[in-house]
Amino acid sequence: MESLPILSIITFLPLLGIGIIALIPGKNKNLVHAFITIFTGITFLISLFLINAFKADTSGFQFIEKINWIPSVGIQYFMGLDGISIYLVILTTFLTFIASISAYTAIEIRVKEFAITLLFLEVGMIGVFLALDLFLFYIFWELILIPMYLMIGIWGGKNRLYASLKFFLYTLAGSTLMLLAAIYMAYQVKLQTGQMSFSLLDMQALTLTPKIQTPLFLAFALAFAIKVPYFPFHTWLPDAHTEAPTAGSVILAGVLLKMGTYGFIRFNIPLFPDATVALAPFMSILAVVGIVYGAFMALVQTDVKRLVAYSSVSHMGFIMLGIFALNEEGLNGAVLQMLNHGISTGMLFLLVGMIYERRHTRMINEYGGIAKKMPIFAVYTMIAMLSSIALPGTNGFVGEFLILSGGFLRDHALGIIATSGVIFGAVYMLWMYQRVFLGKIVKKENEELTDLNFREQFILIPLVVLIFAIGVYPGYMLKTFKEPVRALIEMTSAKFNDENTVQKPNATIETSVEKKL
Amino acid sequence: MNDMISTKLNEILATNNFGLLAPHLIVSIGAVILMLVSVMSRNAFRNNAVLAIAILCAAFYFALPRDLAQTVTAFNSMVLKDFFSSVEILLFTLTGILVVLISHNYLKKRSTDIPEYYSLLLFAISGMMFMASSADLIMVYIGIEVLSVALYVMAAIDTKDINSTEAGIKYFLMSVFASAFLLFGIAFIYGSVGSTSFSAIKDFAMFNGFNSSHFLYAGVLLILAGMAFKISLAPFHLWTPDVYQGAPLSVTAFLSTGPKIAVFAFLFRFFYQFQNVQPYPELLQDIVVALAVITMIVGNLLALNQEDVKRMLAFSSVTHMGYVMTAFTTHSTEAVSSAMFYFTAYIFMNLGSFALLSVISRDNDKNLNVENFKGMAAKKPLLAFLFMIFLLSLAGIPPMIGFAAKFFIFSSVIHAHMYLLAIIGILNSAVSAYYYLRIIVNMYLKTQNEDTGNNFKEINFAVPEITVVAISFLAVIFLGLQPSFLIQWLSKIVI
Repeated sequence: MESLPILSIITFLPLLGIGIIALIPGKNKNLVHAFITIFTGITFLISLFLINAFKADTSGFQFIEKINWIPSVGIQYFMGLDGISIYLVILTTFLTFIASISAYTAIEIRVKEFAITLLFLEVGMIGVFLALDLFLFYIFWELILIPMYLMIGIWGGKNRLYASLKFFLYTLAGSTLMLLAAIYMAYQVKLQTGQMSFSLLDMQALTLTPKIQTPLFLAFALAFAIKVPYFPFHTWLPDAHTEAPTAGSVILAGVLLKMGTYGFIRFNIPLFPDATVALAPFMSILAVVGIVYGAFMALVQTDVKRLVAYSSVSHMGFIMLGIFALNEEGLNGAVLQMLNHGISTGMLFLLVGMIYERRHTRMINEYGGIAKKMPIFAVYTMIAMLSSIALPGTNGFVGEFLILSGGFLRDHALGIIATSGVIFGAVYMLWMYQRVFLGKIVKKENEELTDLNFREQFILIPLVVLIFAIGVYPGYMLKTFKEPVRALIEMTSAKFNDENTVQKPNATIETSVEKKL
Repeated sequence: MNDMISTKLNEILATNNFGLLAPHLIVSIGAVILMLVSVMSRNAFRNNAVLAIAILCAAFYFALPRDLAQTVTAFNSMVLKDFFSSVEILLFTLTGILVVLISHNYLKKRSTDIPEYYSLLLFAISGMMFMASSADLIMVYIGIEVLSVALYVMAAIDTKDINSTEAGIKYFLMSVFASAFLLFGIAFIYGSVGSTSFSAIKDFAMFNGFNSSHFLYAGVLLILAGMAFKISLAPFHLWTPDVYQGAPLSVTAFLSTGPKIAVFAFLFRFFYQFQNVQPYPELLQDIVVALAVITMIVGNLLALNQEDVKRMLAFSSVTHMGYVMTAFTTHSTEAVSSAMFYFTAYIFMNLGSFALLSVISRDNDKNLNVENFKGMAAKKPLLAFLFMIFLLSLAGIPPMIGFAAKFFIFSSVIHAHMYLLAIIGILNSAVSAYYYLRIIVNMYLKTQNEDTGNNFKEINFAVPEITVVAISFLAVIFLGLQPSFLIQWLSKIVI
């Protein structure tokens, strides 16, 4: 078992799927869909083995694979897994699997191309969470752009061309500077050790002055902030989420946004601890602005999908607040909330997709009172919603509670404002629920709605189970984050102390001045 | 009498190493033979294509470098052979082979199957080869003129198309103008140094400094201007649009790759020898940096709104030369290897795209309007997929070779601590994605316009195009995933 390159197998298994699906005739749509489900399913099952073999009591990387790739510039094929990335990988394989089942009825044209884009997307996403060489990471990072672009552009809604192009150019432009920063750091490694290297571990060992760290931090942060999306860079998200097909929205919200927050945790904090500490207040303020702004925008949306998209902006703000609280509560909460958001928002997008397939509209005012016709659907939506607004007992509560307590510990004012985001979250979600599900049926078309079928429930049940399982017993997941998070905290808390020690000489000077007086 | 001739001949053979020029001679003599064949038989178009490929293959074989560290000069130090020139010659012959394959069916469909075409192509390539292995300004001038004269005729080869003739004449006028600059520069340098040999110029500059003679400085700048003209660096690019548009597609494919690589060979060899001159002429360095920045930006701006894909690709070649120029500014050995890697990448992705375009154009170049690509993915999935890969590679998206090439370029720029230049370059690269993506949008995301009646049915692949596309595709993918051995091999280049 140990000798098997299990991470590479999980990453590149979907490629095998592409090879096989390319050979079968594209006209038989259900067969192609079945093959997608089989391959995403197998990938998911194999990724579950990781939990079993994973040792939770260390902070280092496990299942490491390291091969020289372009030795002249110190690039390696370097993959590894730690407590933060393990569940993100499983979330990826899980949501891709779910998305593939949801696509049976939603994707009816060019199914074969859909299969190829979805599986390519999976390769890129898993690779992003596993790559520990910055060059390799960048390749996986960019690999996602094209399939996601095609997915929005081919199978998306009315405004898909605009949304897909915006998504592509925004993300591409944002990530280019990260590449330059990575190259710069590789040369710094060469200066300090004599050997050029793009390995994350080698770069962590660098000693960089705070003055250099800041621009590098910002170059990385721009790429990740756009993906998250951080407040002023969020404008691509509502368009992309709304226009993407259901499978695309699930993956976008569930996994792609996490790549941004993961990037902050994996690269920004350990590589630039000084800059992280220095810029944390600024980043936290932007995060809180995002929380409140996203909530207010969600409040006024007339399109359900757009509402969920804006709620993502708000929720991702919570995660960023947790990360830049830079304490154990905040970071643990942020990592857990990354998974929670993937589950709850993924589920909301699935539900929106299901109702859209029936009525071909997402406008809130087209609905009303449909709980009478679709009671099961109403229950599932209620559960997803409660998870999203962080009701105690659901997974969202644990994550947001930890984040808010972390944020509060760092800065009281920010913690208080962020908490208001929870209330607004409840307002827009419940108001939407009321308008869509409760009351009398006004529109005739809604009289003929049919409730969820077996396939649709089959997708939703595992998500419901996860919502309550994590909500009731979060310790199972939290214990895997614990060590890596503690390692991160140690890196930055040392810098907080540094600031104090820097200030101390001034204090002594002052006291000596006082003494003289 | 006979003895005298034979001793004289032996003497010539002993002092002048003809073996050194084997690829050059093969291609030049081959060009003459093809010309003679064309005179004797007007139907030799097909045979000449086969012959041209055979000649280029032979030249490729003889150009394969045997001793990487060796530098040999010959013919009174007019030409030299080293690893750098060998790599350049390999690239030229490769370009030549691919262009012959692209040209054949394209020209035949337009009834411009003039057998001399291949002879001209070989002449152009021999000119490029002489440029790459010259060690003397006179030799450079001869090389560039052999190249240019062949190109004028090639651009105007489609005598039925007025645009082609226009392209030929425009190219001729502009290029002659540039050559005049070049000659002026050479004359200035000769006047101040007393020699046209690279090494003599270098020694003079090393000994006296650059500012000692205004004529030397002016001469160098004039040469730079003339060469910038030839590779259409902005602001010397104004001839490019009409020439690239009017010339037959296969000629445009050649124009946008081969000659530019040849000129860069000269630029590297000539300007890099001054890098140890103290003090280094700052104005020269500033001008080179400015050329790189302006070229990238202007090339992008021009390509951004092109409706014609051929024209768009031609403009984007201006931008690509801008990227190479950024590496050129750094004066490092890395710059040379990354530029050579970039050229290799560019040959494959650019000629691969042009091969696909020659297929897509059928018998009318109007088919290359971006509107006519609508819905191609549904009708011709393989063609659309291949074209997408080439375009994404040109845009520098990993894991294609275009990304690796840009990575090495910007990595050399960062190593030289020119961060602002690297940032400008990489942002330009992001902008360029927009116009490459526009074609993909049309192929994949838009549905076919029924009233244009464009049903893609007459698109037929023939063996030559398939060969080009297959070679290019494999190179784009495999060298993109595993650039290691190529870049390591190229990093042995010493100038």
